[in-house]
Amino acid sequence: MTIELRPTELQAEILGTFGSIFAKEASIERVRAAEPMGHDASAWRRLCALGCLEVAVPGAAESASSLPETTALAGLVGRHVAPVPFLESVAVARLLAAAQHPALPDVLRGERVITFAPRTLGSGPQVVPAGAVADGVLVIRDGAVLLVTRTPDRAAWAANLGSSPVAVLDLDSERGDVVAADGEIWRRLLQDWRLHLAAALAELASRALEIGAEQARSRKQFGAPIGAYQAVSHRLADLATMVDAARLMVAKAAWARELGRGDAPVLGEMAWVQATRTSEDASSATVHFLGGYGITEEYDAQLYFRRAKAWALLGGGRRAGIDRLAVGLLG
Amino acid sequence: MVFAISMAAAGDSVDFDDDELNAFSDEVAQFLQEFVGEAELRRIHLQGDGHDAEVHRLLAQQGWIAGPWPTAHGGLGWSPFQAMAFRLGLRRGGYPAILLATSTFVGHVIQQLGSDFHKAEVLPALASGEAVICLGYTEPDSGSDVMAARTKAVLQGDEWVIDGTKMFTTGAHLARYTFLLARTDPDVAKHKGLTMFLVPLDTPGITINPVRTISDERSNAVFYDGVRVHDRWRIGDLHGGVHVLALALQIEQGTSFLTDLECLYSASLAWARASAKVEDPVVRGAIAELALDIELSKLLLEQGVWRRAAGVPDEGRGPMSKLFSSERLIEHTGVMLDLMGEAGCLISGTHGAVGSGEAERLYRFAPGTTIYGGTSEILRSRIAETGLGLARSRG
Repeated sequence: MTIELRPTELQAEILGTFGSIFAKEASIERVRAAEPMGHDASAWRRLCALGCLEVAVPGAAESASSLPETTALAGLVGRHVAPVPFLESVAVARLLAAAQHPALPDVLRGERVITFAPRTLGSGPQVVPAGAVADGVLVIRDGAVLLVTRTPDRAAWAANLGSSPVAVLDLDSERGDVVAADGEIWRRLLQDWRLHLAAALAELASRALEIGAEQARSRKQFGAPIGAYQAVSHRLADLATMVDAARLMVAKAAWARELGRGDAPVLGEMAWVQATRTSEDASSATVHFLGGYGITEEYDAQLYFRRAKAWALLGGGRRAGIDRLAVGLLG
Repeated sequence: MVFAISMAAAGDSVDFDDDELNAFSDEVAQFLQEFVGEAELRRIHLQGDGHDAEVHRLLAQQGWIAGPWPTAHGGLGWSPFQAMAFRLGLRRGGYPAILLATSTFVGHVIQQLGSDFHKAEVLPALASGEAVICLGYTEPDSGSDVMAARTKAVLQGDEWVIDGTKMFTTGAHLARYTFLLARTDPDVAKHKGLTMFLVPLDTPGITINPVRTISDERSNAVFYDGVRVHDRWRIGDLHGGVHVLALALQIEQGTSFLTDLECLYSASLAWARASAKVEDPVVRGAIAELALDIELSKLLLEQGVWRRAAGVPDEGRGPMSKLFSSERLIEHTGVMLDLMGEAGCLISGTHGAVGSGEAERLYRFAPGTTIYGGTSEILRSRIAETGLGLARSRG
C-alpha cells in the first residue's frame, strides 16, 4: 500500500540527457539572441536530431514512452524558456500519430514544423502559436481536421508579450487536406497542448522562484539579506508551496491521461489552472523582489514574467480553464 | 543520431493512486458509521472534546490506535501511507480524533526516547485505548515561541515540583497524561533549559478549567500549583526538552485539513444543486476552484508522507500540506458563505440552514486551523529556511 512520487527511471534519464542539451542549446544567451521572435532554428534542429519528438510518439522510437516523458521535456522547455516549437509540435505529433498521417516522420525529424490554429475556422484572423515558423497548420472546419500547407512566413510574425513566434493568420478561406473527420481528435489535441503548456509553466514557475530565492539570499538591505524579512520570505514560502502543487498536479494529470483514466480531463484542467496561476504569481513576485532591476531588460526575471502570462494566454487563458473544469465537475 | 532510451519502463512508474489505501480509508469511515452511527458522531462533535472514550476503545480493539507503531511495541507496523489513510478515514467518517492523534505520536516518542518504565507503564495503556495523552506546550505568553515556556520544574530529591500555567491543552480533562514542556534551568539560553515530562493528570495540585472555542470545541487552561512528579516521568535527558520536542514535531507532521475542504465541497455542491445556483457562472467557478484546492491539498499531503516513507529529506514539504489546506479552508469557507447569501449565517439544525449548516460550521472552525499545530507564520518560516535556504527570521 503506497503511492510512489519518484520520477521513473525513464523520466530521470530523459531529464538527465536532455537537461544538458537544453542548458547548451537554450542557454539564457541563446534565448536572448532569439528575441523578439523567439525561434532558434539551430536549437530546434539539434533537439529533433536527438529525438525529442520521437519520445512523444509511442512506437516511433524503439522504446514506447509518452506523456510522463513528454511532459518532462515540456518542463525543460519552460525551465529554459527555450525558443523552440516543442509544445506545439508534441501535441501535433500525437494527433498525426493517432490519425496515421504521412507527415508525421517529417515532423518528428524537425524537417517540417506543423502547428495548429486553436479556434474553429470561420471568424477571421486568429493568433496561431508557432504560426510564424510553421509550414503547416492544422485547422478545424465543419468538424473535420484539415492540414493547410503554407510557406513559412516570418513576416506574419506578430509582436507579442512572450517573444513567441506567433502569427495572426486568416485561414478561413485556405484549402487543406483532410487529416481526420472527427472532432474528438481535435479536442484531444487541445488537451495535449494545454497539458504540455502547463508542464512548461510549472517548471518556468520553479525557475522563476529559484531566481527570486537567490535574490532573497544575496540582496542585502538594512544590513540583512531581504530573505530574513518575513514580508519577503513568507511570500516566497507560499510560492514554493504553489510551485510544488503545480508540479505534482501536472505529473498527476499526465499520469491519469497516459492511463486513460476517467478523471483525466478534470485533472488536466486542474493542472492548467494551477500552472497558469502559479507561473504568473511566481514570475511577477520575482520581478518585484529584484526591485528596479527586475523591470529592466538586462535582468532575466522579465524573460519568465512575460512568457508566463503570454503562454497562459496562448492556451486560452486561466478563466476558460476554470469554466471547463466546472463543466467537468458539474456538467 | 536518435536519442536511444536504454531503460525498460515496465514496472517502474510514478503512482498517484492506490486502491488498497482508498479501501482502507473507506473501511475506517464505514466502521465509524456502522458501529458508532451518525447521531452519536454528531453528539461527539458538538460535545467538542475531540475525543470519545467509547469510540476510542472500539478503535483500539481493531488495533488501530497503535497501528503506526512497530510490531515490537504492539503496533501493526503501518507505513506512513497507511497511517495517512487511517487518519483520513477517521475524519471522513466524522470522528474528530484529536487525542487519538496526540496519543499515537507521543507513543512514538516514548518508543524512541522513553525509559523501560515508560514503555511498560504507558504504551500498553495507550494501545488498548484505556489512556490518552494531551499536549502541554503552549502557555498564556508563549505559543509560536514554544521554547519560551515559563512553567518551571524544580528538582527536590527525586521529585520535580511543577508550577505554572498551560493554555489550550485540548483533552486535559479526559487524558491520563500531559506531555509537558517545562523550564528546568532559567539561567541559560531559552532552548537549553527545557525538559519534557509525562505528567499524570490525577496528580494533586492540577486544576483544569474549560475554555470554549467558537467552533464547538472545548479546550482547557491547566494550572500547576506545586505539582510533584517523580523523576521517572521525565522523557529524555535533563535540559534535553528541545530534542524531544524536535522529534515530536517531526513525527506530528503530515497534518492536513483536506477532509474539511472535502466537507465544504459536499455541502456547497448540495446547496448549489438544490438552489439551481449550479448554473451561476460565479458559483461554478468557486466550486471549481475549491475542487482544485482539494486535489492540491491531497497531493501536498501525499508528497510529505511520501518523503517520509521514502526516506527523502522533508525540506519544508510537511509544513506545506498544513499551510496550504488551512489557508485555503479559510478562503473557501468565506467565499462559499458569501455566495449562499443571508441564509448562509444559519447554524446547523436551524430551520432554513443552507447545506446542513456545514459551511457556517467550517467558517468558525477554519481560523483555528492556521493556528494550532504550528501557525501559518511558523510553517512559512520553516519552508523558507529548509526549503529555500533563506536566513532565519526569528530567534
